[in-house]
Amino acid sequence: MSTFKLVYLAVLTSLALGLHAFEAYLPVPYLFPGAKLGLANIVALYTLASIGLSEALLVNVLRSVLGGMVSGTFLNIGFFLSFSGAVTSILVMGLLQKAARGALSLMGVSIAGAVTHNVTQLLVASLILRHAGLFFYLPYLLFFAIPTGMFVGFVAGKLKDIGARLVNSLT
Amino acid sequence: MRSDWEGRSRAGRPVTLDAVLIFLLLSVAASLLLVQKLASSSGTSQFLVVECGTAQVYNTPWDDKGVYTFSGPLGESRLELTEAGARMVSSPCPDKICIEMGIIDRPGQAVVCIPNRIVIRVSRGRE
Repeated sequence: MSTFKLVYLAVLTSLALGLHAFEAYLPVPYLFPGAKLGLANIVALYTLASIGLSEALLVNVLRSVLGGMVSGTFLNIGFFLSFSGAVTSILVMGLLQKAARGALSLMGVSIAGAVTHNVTQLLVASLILRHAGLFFYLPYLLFFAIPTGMFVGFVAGKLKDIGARLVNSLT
Repeated sequence: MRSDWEGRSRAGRPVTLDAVLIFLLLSVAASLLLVQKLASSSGTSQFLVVECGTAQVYNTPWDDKGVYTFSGPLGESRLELTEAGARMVSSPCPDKICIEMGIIDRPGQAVVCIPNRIVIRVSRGRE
């Protein structure tokens, strides 16, 4: 790994961590209990789109672990929900982006990631509770993944262009 | 530089797969909601069920209005069953998402507190 890439990934990780922590203070309009915009996923998707899958996975895993440590929820239930969602959503987005070969926009990829994130959290929560009652919320979570996924995908796409110019001017 | 987010593929074709994905999601979500609605519409007698972990702590007729208390790993949670329905009124969990979940009154609906391992749901008939 080149020094540039190392520093770049470190900056991206700290950006994701900052957004992760910031989101906890953000008053999300009351739409659905526990719903989030997923600001940190902007950085993860940006990393996926501009660098690659393994780098994005690294950034998202580090963000989730460090985020848990910063907010004091490390190894709590909330951490496991966040961690599992972070891993599966990046994997699905990466594979989908490869498989679609440009037929799916970043917004589409992001929506699929948001759905994966939500479904994974629901599955993990159901496993923890040993109860399938939570799946009552699946349709609401599917609906909610569309606007949040679009938002994250849109911002990540914008940043991809800005970032490409920035990186070109730096190197 | 032409980027993907502008809604065009590299070959310049408009992205249609996005629309397909959104349509698919909407139809899956809508049909799940419809199934839930249909499943909960028949008006037989319903019961309030409270579970903590794998243990059932309450299974009472819907007409037994009042306040119910029960303990999970974090401590005591309290629910209120009124004419309007059942809702969590106090919980020792950090995020209070269960309280935000609001009122449930139809079979199949549930209020869940993951940290305190509590599931409150409405069941159709005694189980």
